[in-house]
Amino acid sequence: MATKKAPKKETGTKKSGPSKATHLALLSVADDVDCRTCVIHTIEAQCNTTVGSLGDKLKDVCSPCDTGAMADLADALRQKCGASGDLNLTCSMSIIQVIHAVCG
Amino acid sequence: MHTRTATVIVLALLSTAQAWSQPRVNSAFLNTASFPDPNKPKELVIVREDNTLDPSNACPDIATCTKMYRLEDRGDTYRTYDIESVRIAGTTLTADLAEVPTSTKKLTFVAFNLKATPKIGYLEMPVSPQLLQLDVDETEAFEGLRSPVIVQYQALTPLTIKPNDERRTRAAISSALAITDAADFDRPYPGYVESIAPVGQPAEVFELRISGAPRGKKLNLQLGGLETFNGQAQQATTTIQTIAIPKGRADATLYLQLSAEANDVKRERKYTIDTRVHDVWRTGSRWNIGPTLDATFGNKTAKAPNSGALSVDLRYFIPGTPTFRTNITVSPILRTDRSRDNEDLGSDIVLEAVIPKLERSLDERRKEEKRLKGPPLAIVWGWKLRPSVGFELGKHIKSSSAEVDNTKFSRLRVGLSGALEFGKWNLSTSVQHRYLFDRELVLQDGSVSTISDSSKTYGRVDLSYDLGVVGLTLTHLNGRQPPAFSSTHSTSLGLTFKF
Repeated sequence: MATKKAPKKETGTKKSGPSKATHLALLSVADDVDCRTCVIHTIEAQCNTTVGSLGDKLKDVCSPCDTGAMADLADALRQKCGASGDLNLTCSMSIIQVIHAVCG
Repeated sequence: MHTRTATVIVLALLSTAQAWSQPRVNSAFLNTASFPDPNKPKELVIVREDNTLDPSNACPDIATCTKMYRLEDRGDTYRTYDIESVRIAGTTLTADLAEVPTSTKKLTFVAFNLKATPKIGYLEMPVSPQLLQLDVDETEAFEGLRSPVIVQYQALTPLTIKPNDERRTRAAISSALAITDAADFDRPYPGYVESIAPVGQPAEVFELRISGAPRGKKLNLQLGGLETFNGQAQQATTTIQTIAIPKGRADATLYLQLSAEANDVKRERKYTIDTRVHDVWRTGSRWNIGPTLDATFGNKTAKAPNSGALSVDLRYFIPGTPTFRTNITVSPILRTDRSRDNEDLGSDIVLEAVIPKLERSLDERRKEEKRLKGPPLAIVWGWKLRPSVGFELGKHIKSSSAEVDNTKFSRLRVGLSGALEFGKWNLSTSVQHRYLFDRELVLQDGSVSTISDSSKTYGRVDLSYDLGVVGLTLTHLNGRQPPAFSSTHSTSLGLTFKF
């Protein structure tokens, strides 16, 4: 049986390609755990960006990263993901640290 | 040495199996290998936070496990350890060893084809303590804090440090600490462990604050003295990046610009000193508090502002949205001129707007470029634009004009600060426009006059070339500012020190 050849991929690079792939892989892990998905989606919504890996620091994804931005993000995580009232975020925290702090 | 170190540190294994099953809190490690249950010393637990492991990776006996996994001791005498069984749960792989490893110096867990999402395949993982830097907090660095280096240490087995032994433990770790600069022939720096605290329960992860490393360096850090495994002292190494050197006047704790200009034709000498000292402490989740000294003085021919201000800034970050944030700063402030003939004592209340799209520093854009896996160093521009509006209220406690002396003042201030970065070049500007509601003094070439219901503008532009702790800066100052509103019109090229 003859198989149809897949169409050749367009040449050139898409800027968002690799990042999107990483992001999807990240979510596939997170899909198992609702809290992880919630944390990642909340950070993305609050910082208008895409989280690339769990090792990314908040200062890398939330720009400009200041005390106000961290306090707003902590409030959003409390409202949407049930984070505890004493959640205190700093710009040097990584995504996995936030997940551990919010989801336990 | 190791025995002595080990004796100073009192480590007690956590006794309850309940405790180890609790999730870790605030750990920054993505991939870990440890023996987390003291009741099961042969149980090796591998965690891969980035991957969901397939249940088919499990194996029930030594014969099956040997085909899939190997635990190797790659030390002086190579040997392997049998794995009796492997269980899989989500991101965790639990391997039951036939015996406790005698050495962990070069112990490596190998999986020949680990099925996972995202795909892993062949995997090698060292079974040893890990060390990871949590970067110095750049929020605080930007706002002036002198942050020590903060690292996390992932132990091989759960530990507790008895309260009375915390100081001795810090001393023991400090003496076993090695900070070296590989770029400077392994030059050593004396490091000191300021604090050590377990991160969550059980205490497999510890957070350490280490001081003594210089700014703006990439250094090697070696840390031991915290734990022993099967009688052997453990060590972990990592690379740390210390707090960055500030870029300009706004983000430095101490900024000092000195300039001197000689004109032999006019027989003129111009000297200017421009300084800003600023520090910040974070209190609560939304408050920053810190003092600021801001002064620019020069000789008569320099036409510098010759004014200074000392304030205590109490800044509250108002809850905002992802696209727009504000903060309000209340600052008790004393303003004075060089002769101290004119002094204002009062309060500034300033509302500042942060629009994230208008603030993208070059450093942040380069990090985003790296995260998006774009071509390296293709981005060369960064920018910042921040508007503000404020009120200045208070009393002229000293004035050259009897009409103004001891009267109250109130001013409306609208400001805009901006910066443009291009590689090592930085062009920054700030403009402040004041509307004066009350009668104020104006100095013009030594003569005193008063004005009311008027407005005055003051601005500065700095073009600087960054050389690290020092920089070359061309500064232009123009306009009038309180308390004396003397005419300023100066351009100077100077050497800048920032820390």
